[in-house]
Amino acid sequence: MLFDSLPFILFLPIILVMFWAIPHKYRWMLLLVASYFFYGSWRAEFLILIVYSTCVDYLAAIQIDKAKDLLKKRIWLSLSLLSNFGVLFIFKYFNFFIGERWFFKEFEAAHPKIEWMANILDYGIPVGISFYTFQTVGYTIDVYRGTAKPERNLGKFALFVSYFPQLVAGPIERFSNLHHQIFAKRQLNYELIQNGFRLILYGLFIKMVIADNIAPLIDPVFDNPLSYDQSSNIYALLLFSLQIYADFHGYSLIAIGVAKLMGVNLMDNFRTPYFAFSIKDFWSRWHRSLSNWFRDYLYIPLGGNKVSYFRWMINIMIVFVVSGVWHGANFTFIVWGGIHGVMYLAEQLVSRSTSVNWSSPFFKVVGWLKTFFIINLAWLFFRSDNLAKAYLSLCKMFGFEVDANRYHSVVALEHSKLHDGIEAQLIQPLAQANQLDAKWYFILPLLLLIVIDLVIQQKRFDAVIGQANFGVRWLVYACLIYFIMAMSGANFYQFIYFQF
Amino acid sequence: MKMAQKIALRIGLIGVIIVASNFIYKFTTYESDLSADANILRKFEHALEQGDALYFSSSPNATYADGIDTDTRSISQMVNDSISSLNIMSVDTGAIHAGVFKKLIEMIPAESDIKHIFVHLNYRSFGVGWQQSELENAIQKEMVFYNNRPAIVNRFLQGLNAYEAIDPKERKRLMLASWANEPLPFDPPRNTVESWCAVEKWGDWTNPKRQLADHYIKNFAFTLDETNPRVADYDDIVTLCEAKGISLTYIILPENLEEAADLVDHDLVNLMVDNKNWLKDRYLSKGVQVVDVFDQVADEYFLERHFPSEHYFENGRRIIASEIIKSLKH
Repeated sequence: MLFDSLPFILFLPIILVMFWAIPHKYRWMLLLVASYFFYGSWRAEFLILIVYSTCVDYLAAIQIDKAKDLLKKRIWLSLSLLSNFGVLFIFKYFNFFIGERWFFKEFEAAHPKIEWMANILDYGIPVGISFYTFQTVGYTIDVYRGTAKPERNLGKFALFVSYFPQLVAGPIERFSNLHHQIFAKRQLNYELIQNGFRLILYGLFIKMVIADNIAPLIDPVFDNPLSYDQSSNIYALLLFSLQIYADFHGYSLIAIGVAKLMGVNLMDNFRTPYFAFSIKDFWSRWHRSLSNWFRDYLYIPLGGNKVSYFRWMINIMIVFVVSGVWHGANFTFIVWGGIHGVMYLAEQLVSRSTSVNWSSPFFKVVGWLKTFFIINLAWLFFRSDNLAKAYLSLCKMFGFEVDANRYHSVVALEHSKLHDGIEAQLIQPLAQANQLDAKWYFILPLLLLIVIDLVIQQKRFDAVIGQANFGVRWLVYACLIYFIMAMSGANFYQFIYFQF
Repeated sequence: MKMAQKIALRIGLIGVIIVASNFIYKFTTYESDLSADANILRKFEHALEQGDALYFSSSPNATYADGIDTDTRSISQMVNDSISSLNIMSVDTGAIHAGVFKKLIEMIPAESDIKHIFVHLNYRSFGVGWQQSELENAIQKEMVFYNNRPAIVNRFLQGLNAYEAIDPKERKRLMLASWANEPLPFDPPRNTVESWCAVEKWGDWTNPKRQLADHYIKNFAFTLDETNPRVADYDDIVTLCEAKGISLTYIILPENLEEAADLVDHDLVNLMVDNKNWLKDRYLSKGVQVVDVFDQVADEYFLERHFPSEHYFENGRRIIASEIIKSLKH
């Protein structure tokens, strides 16, 4: 059940009315049932994984809290980590590691009984597995560190893990922020409803109108970069930057809005990231809940910046590469993380070794241009199906000659599949390359998004629109409603971050 | 109470915005959406105004051999030219199926002048290969427009993917699973589509005849019962026409049985004929006029040579038209 789908539009009001109508003490039970129903609507079988993860962390956290000596605590923590990351590895990364490799093929042929395993893997990646795994792992580590007390009610803990507004695509919440809010006693008030719906409206606009219209336009370009001309490849990359922002930010806003309707404040996940002046600044604005998670549970345990300069650089690279791997089992994500890591270090190196005033308007503009260029370049790897296609896109964008041998050597290196269309065009290039073709009037919602983001800057839509007078507010609402109803992307596209 | 008043006022305002949006939408991007995603709707509305008989079909009605056929008229046009008592208007476009026809027939208003409806019954459309084809999501999407709701509501429902939108990978999985597991009424290896395709009558996959034989098995080898979604669609069309007092003719389109026998074997042909007879008996018993031309068109009159289809040369279309005319005159 996607947020921008008819089933959810029907599901949400029913749950909201019931939530506010029943006594407080039963609300969490309603939310637990609703959350399991919500998650089970994708594939009921995957509920087993979420129940498993819940039980393991419930037990591990209590045992860690009970344990008197450090060794016992560590054993339980290790069990929890192994169990959570083990499930994540099997469902998300195992296929990547075995791929088409000969040793697995030979093993598979010699042991036909492992067919059941291949069948399980064919099910695909369970929706949101990286999100809820990180959330529960964060909880167990917090208990281990003594910064959180374990929840002893299994049902209530299950709700913390499966809380439906942020279950499948975050924001990845901390136990200390989310848990007490879910169970706090609240009165329904107009502010909650108003702000919740404002966020949902704006979230639907950027998800359905911006992201969902870009997807069908650019997918053919990334599928076969050779069949499109230089400018189309460049536009496709710029549009993808917009798509992934709109897709994820829109979904996050709806999640925050839905939680708000029940009185829960989830953390902001985005703060106009494309206005960032540096890579460091970008990561304080983009998918902030994930950045914070990596900071607290990976970067700091690795020593953070309280180590030698060389070790610190290694730590930074580890964090960025792991962040890439978190997104998916593909070399493209590793390169994406690597680019961010290298550029982050380069920025730090330059700013340490010079005495330039980086906050001056000139350097801010230069910084913004440089950051925007790097982010887009990195997105190319993120979006491409494999490194070989990314190589073709780069050639097309920068006007380089495509070297078929180099392309095939990358294909062989990463075990990616050959693409019939690309193979044909490597032999016989198209006489007339295709061009991106979009309807002109889609520029209107795009302009609205840019204007709103320029006005919002580091704030959030609900806060900014709340300050406008009644006429302006409703004019904006009217535009958003019109665009959502008349110009949403109508093709069937899953939310990009579901695969993560 | 104050909160309820505030909320009610805002719901009213949203209602006004939606009404105004519908008005703006109809005068701006609506036509562009129709031509991109629901191009048959205008044809249907025009046919509804002009005709007293509607002829529903996918591409077989109007496909002809350019430069070869001397008579390029569609089947419906041929019938129309011979039956003076009916003004037959075609409602056709490529790749659609009975699910679309049903939605359009639902839209026929009670006060309409339509007296007769002809519907192509395309045997291939009952197979899983068609039902789970790559085009199915687009067809399901366009069907959202085929009802009498305000245009902007239809458009919004499209945006919400309020149609049977299935991930293309999942469609492929369903199709392959069906070919691997759905039992056929034969002994192994002809007991499933997958194992039947592995019977190497024509050598390996590089042989074009082998490829074509596989297409024939995949498209024509299946068993039929009431649970088939296409059967349900044709059943619904019967019910709709009865309720609207419109007479109904199903035209069972010809398939290339000679090629099926040559490329695969007579088991396939027998299965196809059994299925066709099941359909024919089903709809005759429901009081539908059925024109059965399933085996009436010879191999030489089929247009496509690389894929099984229901596209015919001029003579093929003429045979079908003449059978329809004959049944109408009776």
